[in-house]
Amino acid sequence: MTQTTPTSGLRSDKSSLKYTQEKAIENSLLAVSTLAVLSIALIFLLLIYQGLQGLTVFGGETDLSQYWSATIEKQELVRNPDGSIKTDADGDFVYEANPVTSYDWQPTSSDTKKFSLVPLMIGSAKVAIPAAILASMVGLLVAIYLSELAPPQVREVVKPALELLAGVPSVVLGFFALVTIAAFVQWFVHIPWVFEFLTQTPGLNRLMFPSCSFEAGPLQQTCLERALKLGTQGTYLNTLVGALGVALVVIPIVATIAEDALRAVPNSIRDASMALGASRWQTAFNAVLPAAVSGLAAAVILGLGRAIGETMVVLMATGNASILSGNVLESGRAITATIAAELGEAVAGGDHYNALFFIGAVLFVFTFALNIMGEIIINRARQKVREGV
Amino acid sequence: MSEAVKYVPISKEDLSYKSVRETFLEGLLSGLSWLLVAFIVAFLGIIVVRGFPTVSANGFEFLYTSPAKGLDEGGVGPAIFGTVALVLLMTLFALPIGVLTSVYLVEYAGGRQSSRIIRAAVNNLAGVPSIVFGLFGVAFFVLFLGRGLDGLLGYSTSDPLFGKPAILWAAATMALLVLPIVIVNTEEALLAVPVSLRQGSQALGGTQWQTISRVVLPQAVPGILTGSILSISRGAGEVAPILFTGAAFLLQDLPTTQVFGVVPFIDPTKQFMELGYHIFILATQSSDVEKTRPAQYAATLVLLVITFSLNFAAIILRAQFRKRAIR
Repeated sequence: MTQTTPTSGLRSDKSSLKYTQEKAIENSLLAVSTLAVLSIALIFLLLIYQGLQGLTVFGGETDLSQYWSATIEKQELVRNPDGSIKTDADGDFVYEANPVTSYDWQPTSSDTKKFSLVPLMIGSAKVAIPAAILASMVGLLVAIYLSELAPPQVREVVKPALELLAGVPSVVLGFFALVTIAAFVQWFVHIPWVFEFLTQTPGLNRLMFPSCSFEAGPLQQTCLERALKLGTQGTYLNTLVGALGVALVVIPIVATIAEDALRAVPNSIRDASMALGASRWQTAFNAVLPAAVSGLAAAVILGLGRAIGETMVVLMATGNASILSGNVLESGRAITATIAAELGEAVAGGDHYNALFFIGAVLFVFTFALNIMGEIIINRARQKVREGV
Repeated sequence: MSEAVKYVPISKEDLSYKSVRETFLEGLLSGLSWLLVAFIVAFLGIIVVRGFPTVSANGFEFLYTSPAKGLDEGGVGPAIFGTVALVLLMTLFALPIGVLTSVYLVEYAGGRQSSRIIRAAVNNLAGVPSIVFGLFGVAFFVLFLGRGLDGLLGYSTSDPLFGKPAILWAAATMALLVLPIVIVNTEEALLAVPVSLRQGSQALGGTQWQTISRVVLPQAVPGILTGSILSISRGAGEVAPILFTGAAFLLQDLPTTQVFGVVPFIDPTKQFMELGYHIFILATQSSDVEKTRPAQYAATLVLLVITFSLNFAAIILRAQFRKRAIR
């Protein structure tokens, strides 16, 4: 920079070497940022493309209904009009193939491969919904307490603890759920009065244990006890254990977003409420909370998105049996865990592989929609605060 | 009117129905918060208490020995090495792209449409489930790029060089996952550099790139470091993206090679053992899950110590950087 002639200025001389250099740098930076965006677009496109490949799994026909249910032939014994089992001349039982609607996820079954998403969606819902409810309750309440009511000394302890929890890798939480939470749940449901409550309440036991919904008696008691102990590999893994583990992942996320939303509420609102004679509690719940409600809603939505997308905790702690059951004390197979457990053995380009990409695309679209929704709500809330409405 | 106005001071002795109820409810909320803290402490305490004896046995040999007898005995040496190698390669990918993208966003694209699109895309990338990155890694990096490279270099699909799970592809997948962390932190650091510094540089005749490279970026280094440390911590803890892109159960060899026959370096085409994946395998797939429980706790403790010390470093760095930015 020894020369300082007027022509060395950028704007004045577009033919100068320096100008070309600067333009080149700007353009290469643009190229790199575009690469970053392209990679995101690529994820999107690739999943959609592979997902569409998944639609052609079944003999080249594009048939979405295969992902809902499949009609399979089921061999059933033929009965005579009088109710006895029909036999042929040799005395063997006669079988007859009847069409049955199946909602199964059995992608590697030896006869008919079944790709119904129903059990997987039930599994995901059984984990994500209880986890999101629990995490939202704890996360929102803690956020309100920390931001509006807690003395600074308390804040200085609770906040770092939450940050610590947020920094724990999900595989560690999965391990913790697998070992400690599973044992805790097992102990809890076997506390006599809890067990009694779960199994003796007429509506509840049918809901929780539909397979034991016959008349009350010792037989049903045995069935219920067995159902409670149900689990894979001798450990008692079920979707409740998974949901508690996932809640631990989601709590810091909900709490952080909710606290940001509460902090964005201008102090003038608090001051005005206090000046009218309201207590801190009244101010928090009647003045600040309504002003921050959209931000809090966004926290819950983003928390739900995270709960649906969580993989390792679900893979390790839910038992992964793809069964049709609404009971959170039974095993379940979530979409994320299905991909994680099965992609390793699926042959690239095969039916199973394409079906896994299809469910991956479903998962992606779903979480993406939730994220965009949360994002839009947060942006609107910010705008509202900025405009002072 | 003059008689009706009566000042009632609100004091702690005010035991009206409302204040009793509020004190009670506030007590509940504070109880919930403390319960959460107690839970977190207990959770970490259990892992430390159960894990430490195994880690510290025989002069911390758990940290550098290989697994023995399948996975039943031995340490996590190769897994620690694999984790470090993974995050090194990942940083190599993510840091330049992330930093350059943020420089473009902050210094060139200001509030333009393109910057809004890039920012929205980056924000959404942060919310994509990690297993989806794993799917993408398999389909794009391993099968498309890897097999494509093999085709160009003349390797067959039965004996591939790149077209198989490898640490290179695991690192690339992980780099995509941590890209938003790098970008967000770098952006924050760049925005914290006062405009007056840029104006000063330009007033002295510096071009935009000279201003960025010699004035703005040096000021933003702590912020960029914070972002990379946080992303390394995230990368060390995530397992789902590497399940199919390169992590292995048990390997005899470290993923290393000799460059020019002498200099040891990470071999990007080999598979590797990773700490988080090792915990997952030990806890769910080993032959006797109960027997390897101490090793599981120990490996968990090692992983937690690594991620927490990284996070701690990032927090300290960020605090100092914010202090400086205020000055």
